[in-house]
Amino acid sequence: MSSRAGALQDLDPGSKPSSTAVIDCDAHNHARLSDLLPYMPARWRDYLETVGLRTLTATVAPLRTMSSRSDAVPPSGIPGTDVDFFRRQLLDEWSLERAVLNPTTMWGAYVGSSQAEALNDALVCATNDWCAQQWLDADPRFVGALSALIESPGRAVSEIERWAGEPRFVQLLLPLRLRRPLGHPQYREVLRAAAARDLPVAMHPGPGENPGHPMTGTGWPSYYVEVMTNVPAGAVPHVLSLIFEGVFDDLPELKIVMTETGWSWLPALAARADRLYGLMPGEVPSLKRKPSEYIRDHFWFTSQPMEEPGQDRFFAELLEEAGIADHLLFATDYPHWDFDSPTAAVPATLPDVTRRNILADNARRLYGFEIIDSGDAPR
Amino acid sequence: MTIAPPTAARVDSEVHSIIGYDRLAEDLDPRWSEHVWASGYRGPGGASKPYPPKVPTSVGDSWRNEGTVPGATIATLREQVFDDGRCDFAIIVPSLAFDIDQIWHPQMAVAYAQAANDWTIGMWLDREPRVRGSIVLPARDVSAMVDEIERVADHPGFVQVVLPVRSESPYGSPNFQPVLAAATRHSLAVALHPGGFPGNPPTPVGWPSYHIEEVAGLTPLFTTQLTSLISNGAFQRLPELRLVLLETGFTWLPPFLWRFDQEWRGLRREVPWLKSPPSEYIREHVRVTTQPLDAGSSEAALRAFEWLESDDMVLYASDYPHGHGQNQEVFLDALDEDAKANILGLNARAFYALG
Repeated sequence: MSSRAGALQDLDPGSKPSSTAVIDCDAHNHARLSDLLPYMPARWRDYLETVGLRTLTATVAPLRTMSSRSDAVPPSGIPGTDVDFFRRQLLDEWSLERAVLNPTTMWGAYVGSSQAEALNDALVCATNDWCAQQWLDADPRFVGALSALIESPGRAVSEIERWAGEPRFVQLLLPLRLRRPLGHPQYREVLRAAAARDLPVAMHPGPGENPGHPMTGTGWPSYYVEVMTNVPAGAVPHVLSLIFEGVFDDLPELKIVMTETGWSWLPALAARADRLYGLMPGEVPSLKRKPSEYIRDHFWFTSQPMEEPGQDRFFAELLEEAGIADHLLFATDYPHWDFDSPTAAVPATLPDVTRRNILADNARRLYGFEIIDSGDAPR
Repeated sequence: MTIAPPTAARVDSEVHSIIGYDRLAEDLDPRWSEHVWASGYRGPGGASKPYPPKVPTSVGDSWRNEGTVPGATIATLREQVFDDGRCDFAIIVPSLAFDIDQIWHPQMAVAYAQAANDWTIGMWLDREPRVRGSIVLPARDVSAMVDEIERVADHPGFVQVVLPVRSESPYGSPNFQPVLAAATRHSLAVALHPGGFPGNPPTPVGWPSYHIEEVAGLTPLFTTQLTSLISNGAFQRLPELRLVLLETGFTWLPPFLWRFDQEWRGLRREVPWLKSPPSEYIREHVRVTTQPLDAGSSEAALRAFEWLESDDMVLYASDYPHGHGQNQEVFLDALDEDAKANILGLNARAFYALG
């Protein structure tokens, strides 16, 4: 149902037909620990039975469970766990063509640095089996993100290879809070495996295995509002590291999807990186292009939370300065509290072609989605 | 010894005075100069040195001069900052403030901070009426920081304290409250400047590999400090508190304000003491400088300035002698007359109460 993502040079905007369809590039299904146990080896089921999880609190508590919408709690009690409820409330209600499922909640909750690596790996692999069998099999409109134990690169590569024949996993999903910036050579073999399979690599806010570093470069914040405001601060070091470590020269087909990080910070960052590169190119002599050119070609961004500039007209200016009108992917972030509506979030002041690109066509080109003809009238 | 700048003066809000640890060791109390001599301490090195002497970001090409250290003496400052008519008035920020937190010996850190501030008074403030100074603080010990403010704050030449932007916990957290209170009590602004080496890495994901990577990624350190100060209610507790973010430019600020306001609207129950959107507190209490001008073109810089929707927040700064590889004059000349006058001098006069 899904062809592999196109080569970079084929991702020319306008090269595929468009419609007013909507593709959601960031929705969250959630596995209870009991959902994962059937997919885990007996050794680790027994271990969890006797010792239990040894994860560390590695975040600042949100304002409600799963930081969810209050109306997204299904009868079973936990948001994101009930396939039918999820399907009705997200896919049917908004007539979505597809939704990319990013299961992020095992990071920090079940998977952590203070546990055996093999247990962490078993939990991550079980998440993929659960996602494939309980979600992707349930509805063709669901596609999934593949989880992998990035801090153990060999295990991550094995997991990517285990799913090599599964086109419904359309991206590799990594938490933002790694032990090192993503360009560091220690992660290269994982990125190489993803690029070789044309799997875009998505990064999403989350504690990962709990890297042991404070949540910001200036220590631990006090409040959740600080955490949410500074999500971009967690994305910036990865963007710079991927560029200055020469990852895109090494892996020219690599595509990075920054999820939920915003993108209004791009113009200032790109200008800053270009200026510094102009001043001291000698420290990174292997670079072949200006930093902003790598950003333009290799990074995609999901839309939620949709940027809300001080005046409406600033949005189009911002989009132009950022240069990502063909790399911005609509997302709702369902079932979280800051859900963006498919009909209201993309500014109506944008040209129709830009709106269609953001709502669906950019995602089609990135992920190689074919258009589903469901017979329903498109929105 | 101090004078007010003339009305039309161009005020340079960030000029660095440069002093080496070995030179400053001569000024220490003998108990500490002996200790420094015996231990062979020459000041921080390696990654804890945010300005490696030979890179352009440490000394710009136009100021690099064989055999002299820019910013080391008042004669050099007069020649390189004042004499070409580029500015009439300058706020001096001593280089020691960027890495003094690398001295883990608490009493020795105090000795260096005292020597640095006495050097600023004796060599700069008492000799040149066109400059104002910044107080260096021993950044690891809150009570010692307060003591040092109390020791020198009465000198009329000091207009601010300067803290490294990197810290072990953010400056809005309650343990730093006495420092903010002491500065405010003495009508001193609080300046944050790139630097500091608190032990925790400068990103949430560990250590960057390259100097260029680290410098390109400095902005988030300012956003996390700013978010912390606002969210913890620093400006409610200290309505007179003034904050200036040095050497980080302004083009990143409008998008940051938008996101902060947006998240606050959703999460304001968590911080009920904030009575208005964060951007309103920031517009009232916080200033940023023109250098470095991180925009792809003058047009992009003007656009970012328009997005800021404020003529009051930006202060002209050269960041002498640091080099940033750009000419801000094109941007300044493209501003309308009122905005230009504000940025070049009026905003700094008001913020620093220069008279």
